[in-house]
Amino acid sequence: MERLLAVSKAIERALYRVAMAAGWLFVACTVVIVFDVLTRKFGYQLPEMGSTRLQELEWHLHTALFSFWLGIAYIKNAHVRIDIAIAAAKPRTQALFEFAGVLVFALPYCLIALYFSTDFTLIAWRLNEYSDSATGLPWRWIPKGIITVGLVLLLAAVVSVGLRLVVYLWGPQRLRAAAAYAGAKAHP
Amino acid sequence: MIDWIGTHLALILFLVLTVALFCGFPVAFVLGGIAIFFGALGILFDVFQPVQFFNLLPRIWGGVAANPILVAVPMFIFMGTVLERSGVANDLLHALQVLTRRIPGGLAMSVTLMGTIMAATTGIVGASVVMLTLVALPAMLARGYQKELTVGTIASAGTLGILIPPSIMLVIMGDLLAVSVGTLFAAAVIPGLVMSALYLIYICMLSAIKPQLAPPLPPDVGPKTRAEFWRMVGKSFFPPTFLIILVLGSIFGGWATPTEAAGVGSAGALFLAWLNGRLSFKDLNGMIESAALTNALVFFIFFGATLFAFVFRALGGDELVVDIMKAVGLDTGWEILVFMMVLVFILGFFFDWIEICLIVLPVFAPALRTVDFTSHIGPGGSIVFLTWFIIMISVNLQTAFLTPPFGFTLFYMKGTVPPSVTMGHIYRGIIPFVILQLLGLILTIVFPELVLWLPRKVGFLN
Repeated sequence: MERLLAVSKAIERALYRVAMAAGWLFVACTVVIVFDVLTRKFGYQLPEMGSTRLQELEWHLHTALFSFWLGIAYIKNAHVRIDIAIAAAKPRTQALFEFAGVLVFALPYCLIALYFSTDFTLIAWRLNEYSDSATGLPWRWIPKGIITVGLVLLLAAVVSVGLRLVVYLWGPQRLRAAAAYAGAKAHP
Repeated sequence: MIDWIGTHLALILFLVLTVALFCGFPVAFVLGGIAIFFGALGILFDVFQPVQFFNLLPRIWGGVAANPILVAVPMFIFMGTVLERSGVANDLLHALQVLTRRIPGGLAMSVTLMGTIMAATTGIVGASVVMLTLVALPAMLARGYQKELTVGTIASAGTLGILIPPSIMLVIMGDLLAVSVGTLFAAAVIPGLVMSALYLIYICMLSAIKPQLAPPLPPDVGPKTRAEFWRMVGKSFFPPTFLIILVLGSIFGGWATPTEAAGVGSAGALFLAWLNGRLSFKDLNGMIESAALTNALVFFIFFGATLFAFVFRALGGDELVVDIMKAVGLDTGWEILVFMMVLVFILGFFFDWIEICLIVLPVFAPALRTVDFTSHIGPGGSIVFLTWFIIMISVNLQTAFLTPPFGFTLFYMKGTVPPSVTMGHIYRGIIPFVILQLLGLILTIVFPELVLWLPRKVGFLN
């Protein structure tokens, strides 16, 4: 049981590190947009990096921004839930519901999405897929691969929460506090 | 029986979803998981092919990732988060307090004005409610304001953020129903100001009739000399004015797309935070984390809802909705419109704007294609109707933030208020403001020009 909890926490730390590093893409995206707007205004163009490419780069960064945060957002309990029906339930009942949700909803969704996403990326890789626009960016497998990696991270987060819940529900009393899964909700 | 199940899978899917959403598991997983389960059932009944699941990825790709319009969402979230942590709010509230000190209910009105100004600089609600609660609630209680009025004022002012442009809700709805985001931003300006004006009128009238609810500020508040006064006004109004001109000015002027305006606005917000000395490495990390979590939450619902909407359609959901509406006798445009408004209002008690937008709009979109409102809203075809419709939904969705048991604004306030303010105060406090929001909704329905005048004026609807 200690080992399960340790694995869960190791996943959590790794996901957090990846996510925080990826979070700087907010700043990167800001810089790219400002650069694009200014250079277009003054009619300057970086060689090989015209406005079309910059604009495609913007949504590449956007894709990475949400992909790398899907998993950690689950661990940090930021995803929206409608918990009025079970808010008053005992913590153990809530944990049982959460565990059932992990098995019935989260794992199947992650596995199926990951399976088809891998396919989707590999096709782009094999065909050496290029932007629809002649002046766009090459290597479509990179953003498509980012979504796939994001789904891997999401699966890892689901596993991490699942392990935590196993320890909480069926582990020894002394680990219970350390394994509790709860958090505040962030919201737009 | 078995045949009946096979042909009514879409209906069963919708009913099961409604129940399952309440189990407290993240909505996106519930949507996706149930869609997979019903896809599998569809395979059993031979109305769905396993390979159709492959469509999930192209849809996420085309709808969410490779979508230049939606880049505006993370950028507006980032801009809002940076701004809310940049410290510009405290100065602004202080200045507004001084400016409104002679009016009945001045402090409450300055909170509403501040919510309005902050709404025009950010596209999100959560953090601005927390900020208003932290900054304004102690001040209002210390002045002896009635608790209900205090809470209602702050909650309603905070929710303006999602209606007054820039607004991530309008970006997402525009993307879903194929209306340009610039048009929607222009269309939302007047309804947003109308809502704000309704709040102000209500507060002013209530405070004039019952002064004990809203005691005036002592006259010695604020700067002593005229020069000092103007310096304070300048210092506190410069940052929001700068951002509003930068962001909304560039969109309405046609110089920048909403995405570009959001990026430039983020740069502007970072600059303001730096000016205020709130941009250390640690501050920036905090801003990034908060913005990224909000962003992930929004787009994860897209992931789940994409699969759900796709399976629902594949199982015949579109025809089902149209059939049901016909069966219950909803066929004229007004009947469908009123039905949808009532539905969205009721759903707002339990759901949040993002689920309502991403689940309900795609489900009911087919019914909307059949209606004709030309005699009410004037010529221009479906774009004009959709613009009006989206703004009505947006005004309506404001109530979703305030209606218990699941209003997000309430949830946030509950976490921030001192123990002397109970849930009872909060519930009683928001009732008049929900009624004002419904009044605002009725105004936008009866007078579509409130919505359509500005976008027509700047030439977005010609």
